[in-house]
Amino acid sequence: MYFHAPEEQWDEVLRLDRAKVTLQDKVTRLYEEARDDVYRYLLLLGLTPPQAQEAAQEVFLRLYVTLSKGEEIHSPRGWIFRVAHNLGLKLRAKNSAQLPFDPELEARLRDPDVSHEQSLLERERWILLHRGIESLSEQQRRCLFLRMEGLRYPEIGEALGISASSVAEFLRRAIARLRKVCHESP
Amino acid sequence: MSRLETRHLSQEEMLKLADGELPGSAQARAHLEACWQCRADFEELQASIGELIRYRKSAWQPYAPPPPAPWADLRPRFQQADAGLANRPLFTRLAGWFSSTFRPPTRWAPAAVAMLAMAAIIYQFWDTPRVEAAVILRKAVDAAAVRPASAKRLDIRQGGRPAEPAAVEALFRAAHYDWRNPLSAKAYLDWFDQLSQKQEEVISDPDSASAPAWLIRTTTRHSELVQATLLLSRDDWQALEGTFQFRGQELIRIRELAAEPAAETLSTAAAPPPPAAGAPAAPPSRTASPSPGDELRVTAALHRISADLGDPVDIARSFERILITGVGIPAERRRQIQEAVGAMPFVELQFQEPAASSSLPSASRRISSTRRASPFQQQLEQQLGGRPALDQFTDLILDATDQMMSQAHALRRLAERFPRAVETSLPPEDRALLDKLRGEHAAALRELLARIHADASPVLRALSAQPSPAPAPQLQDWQASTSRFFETARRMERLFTILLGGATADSGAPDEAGLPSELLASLHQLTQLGQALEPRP
Repeated sequence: MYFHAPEEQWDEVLRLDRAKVTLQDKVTRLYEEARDDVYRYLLLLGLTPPQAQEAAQEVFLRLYVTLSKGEEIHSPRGWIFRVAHNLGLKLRAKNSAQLPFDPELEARLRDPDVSHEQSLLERERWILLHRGIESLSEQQRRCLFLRMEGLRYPEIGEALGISASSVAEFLRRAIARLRKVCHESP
Repeated sequence: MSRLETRHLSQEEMLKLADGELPGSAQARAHLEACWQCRADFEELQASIGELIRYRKSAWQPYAPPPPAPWADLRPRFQQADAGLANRPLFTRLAGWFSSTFRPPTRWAPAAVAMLAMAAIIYQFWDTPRVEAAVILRKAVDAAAVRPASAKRLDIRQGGRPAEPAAVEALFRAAHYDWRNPLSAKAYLDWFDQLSQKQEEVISDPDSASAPAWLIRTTTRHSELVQATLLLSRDDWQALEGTFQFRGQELIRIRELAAEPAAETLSTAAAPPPPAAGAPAAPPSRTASPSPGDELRVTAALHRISADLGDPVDIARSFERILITGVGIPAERRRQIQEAVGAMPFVELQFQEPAASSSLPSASRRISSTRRASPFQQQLEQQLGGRPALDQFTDLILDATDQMMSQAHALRRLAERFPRAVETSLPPEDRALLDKLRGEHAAALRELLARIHADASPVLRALSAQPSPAPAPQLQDWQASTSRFFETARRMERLFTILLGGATADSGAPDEAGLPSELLASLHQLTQLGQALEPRP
């Protein structure tokens, strides 16, 4: 197809270029804002730091490609965590290892040289909460972490392949269990 | 959200309210203003959430390992992606353009559909696939030839349910599709090459949320297999998933199961030996597949040690094995299970540590004395002679209903795994074994129901329960009766928990005045349904 008016052709080319640049800016901004959150979420899923960093970058690249294809994403943060979750699980499955939720955190919290800014009482409290989180089922933990990342129930449900009402139930159980662990421990 | 002004908020409602997910939240907030108890509970919940967030900020985030390298600038990769997108086939670009330009679609849909149809026709003649299916398949076959062979664990489903091995095998054989390794580029290519006429389609990265992949779809009228798709990884050319549409059949989906989570695995000596390193995976064949009868005998062996009741043990039969999984099983119990089924053909045991448990301890249903009282508590206390007697009654009922639910669950599982069609195909000795198992569950249920009846009926009547003599429905077979029994038992269990103050009424529960009557009616109905569960002599 040829354009008879060269100005028209140039306008179209420039419009498309501008749109691309705007989209790149938009995704780059999102990347800068949320990459650390995504990275930490992927660590919680059991990925190693290099894997988590590579996967976090991959997530934003996919976001760019998806938006470039003209697909609409109503909640970018929900989408980002959904894709990160799926990608994280896939990578973890390749490792064929299910790592416990940060097993070294308790040791770090107990080490006064590392956590000198926190009072003993506060550290004990965090250790209890940490143990409580460790005792949650995987699904309860995932719902909790995604909620802490600011995702709404339907978004969490979409990421985990469960209904929003199941998300509510997992969260309720998780919080009930954490309260029980914290209050019952000496 | 009815009756929120008069009843307390449940924990779930409070959480939803805190998260802005509760419909009718204005009403709930009005209740919070009026009710000190709920307000205190709500503030406690908010405090717990605050505590979690402080934990995340102070304990987890500062000590999480930092990214090992500086964050990359993604712009060069965006530009590479732009170049890739510009090379997409015309049809794909047109579809993307239509989907993004015309929203909502209702107004433009007819014109868009017509134009897309025309574009598709033109595309077929004009823009042949940039990448041919055969080229990709041959690359995948070559890659597979140099890859170290390993046994694949396949999940094969028909119409969303686990497929019957023999039936599926027959379909593949009839379509001349190599059944020995159905999820492979080789098998697909061999079938593809046989077809004299076909339409092929190659889609790059069909799902933006998955890893880079090729999707190959072939449609033909010259085979019993009228459409087959194969998803190939672009990283290593492995076949990830396939769907197979046979004429007049429900869709068959085959996918490779992910590597199993860390678990203690005990393969039995009697199971077929795993393939030697470097040797091709043992093809699934009829002789190497466990039958429903094998599964039934394993179920019966577990039943003999009551491992089908209450223990978090699951049985799953696939083409290659009967997998028994258990979560949080104590060592002694594992040993008993191993002894009971370890030597049986095809059995593989996998036990996971308690940390991976997905359920709360059963004690979570225990009703603590600090729970808020149900409207019947005072009446029950008076009638039974004080708080200790009420606690004892509560424990008796909860223990009995717990046991009943375990039995009902085990029986329902039996009914689901051995529906009528499978049951009739079993040899006589297996059918007798199924009858025996079913009979034992039914007898245990009868006994438990009698206990609950004896303990609860006088109490319910004293609460003015009016029995409604609605007869239980006549169902076609014991499998359907089991399903109905389970649903009714679950409802009864829920009603008892509400009556005894362990839960608040939900939208499906009867009003407070009707609760004792409904409980009594459930008990009667369960007794009738229970009779249909017992095998006829």
